[in-house]
Amino acid sequence: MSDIIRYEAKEKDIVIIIDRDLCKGCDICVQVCKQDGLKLVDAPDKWEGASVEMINPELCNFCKLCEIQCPDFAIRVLRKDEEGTITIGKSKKTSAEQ
Amino acid sequence: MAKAAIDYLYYLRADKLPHMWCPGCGIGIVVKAMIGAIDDLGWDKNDIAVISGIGCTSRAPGYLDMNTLHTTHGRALTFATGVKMAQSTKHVIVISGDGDATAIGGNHFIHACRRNIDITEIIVNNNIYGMTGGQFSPTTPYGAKAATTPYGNIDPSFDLVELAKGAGATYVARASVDNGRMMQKLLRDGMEHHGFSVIEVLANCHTQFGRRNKMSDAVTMIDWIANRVVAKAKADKMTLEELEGKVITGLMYQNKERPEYTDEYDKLIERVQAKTSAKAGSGK
Repeated sequence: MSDIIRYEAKEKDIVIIIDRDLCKGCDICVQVCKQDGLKLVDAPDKWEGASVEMINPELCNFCKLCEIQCPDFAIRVLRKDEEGTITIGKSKKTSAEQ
Repeated sequence: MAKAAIDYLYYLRADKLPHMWCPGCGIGIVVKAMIGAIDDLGWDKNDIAVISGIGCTSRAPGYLDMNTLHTTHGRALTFATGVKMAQSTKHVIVISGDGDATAIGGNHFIHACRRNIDITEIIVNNNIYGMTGGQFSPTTPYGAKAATTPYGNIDPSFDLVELAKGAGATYVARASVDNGRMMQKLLRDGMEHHGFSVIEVLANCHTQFGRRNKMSDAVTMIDWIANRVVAKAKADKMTLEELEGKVITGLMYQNKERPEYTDEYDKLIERVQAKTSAKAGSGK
């Protein structure tokens, strides 16, 4: 099973997904986040020794810079529509599935 | 309803992830921008052929769930030319590194530019041969240290944009990994362009280039790139003194007038077939 952390900014309907299996702790997303919403934490279970975590999802302003600049496909920043579903690609997935 | 989020995993061979590139390697950002550009264009992934040579960059097709070819060093464009000539309706994308495209494959590169065949070439310029141990490449800056230039490089470096333009490419652009959004736009326009498109992407190799030049982590090296680049629109308003040491990014050159090679080839076939069938008809 993949090691996924899911954050939710409830008021803004934003969902941030971090895949710890893919994250290599390169620090790029931490530096590009203008809201200082991310931080690097020690991860003794990974050989890179570090992984990214979110400090406060409510800070997210949906600029998606972390998602665009992540070289490892480890961060997704998604928005829920009125019905609370997230659309990825052509298929519609509910927020619970993601 | 906002535009649906890109399904990266649809375009990737998810079982191959995480990829083999170093933490923070810019090639991952390029692959992501490439997927974004393909998604923007709405191309079917089965109509795309991604071809690469040898090097770190050339591992990209291994992660892309499309028609992919991992070929010999520097020869990606020759295989790509073959694919395009055989299946001219398909989209052919070549992803290669600076050494692969302009040193070992330099000859193929200039002649693909000259022919103006409808291929998109993405050159990930990380200033060094990353995979083989950090030897200097034709784009290593003057004075920079590499495994084979421990006292500093004395070779002047290639300006890939001028090289491509001079050789006859009809879409030439330069992007950088510090601005993924701009890269995605330039890649999309380049893929859409009918003719040979070259997109040079300034990327970071902090492991081989950065470590020898006091930039040993990804963030420092991407900052170094970000401080060097100037967008074309801004650069047009700057003086030559202000542009000293800067690299201009953006769309550098586009020519929609020059005939494309596979179109010309189809015309040639039509012309010769009409001639021979007329001859055969009159002979009877």
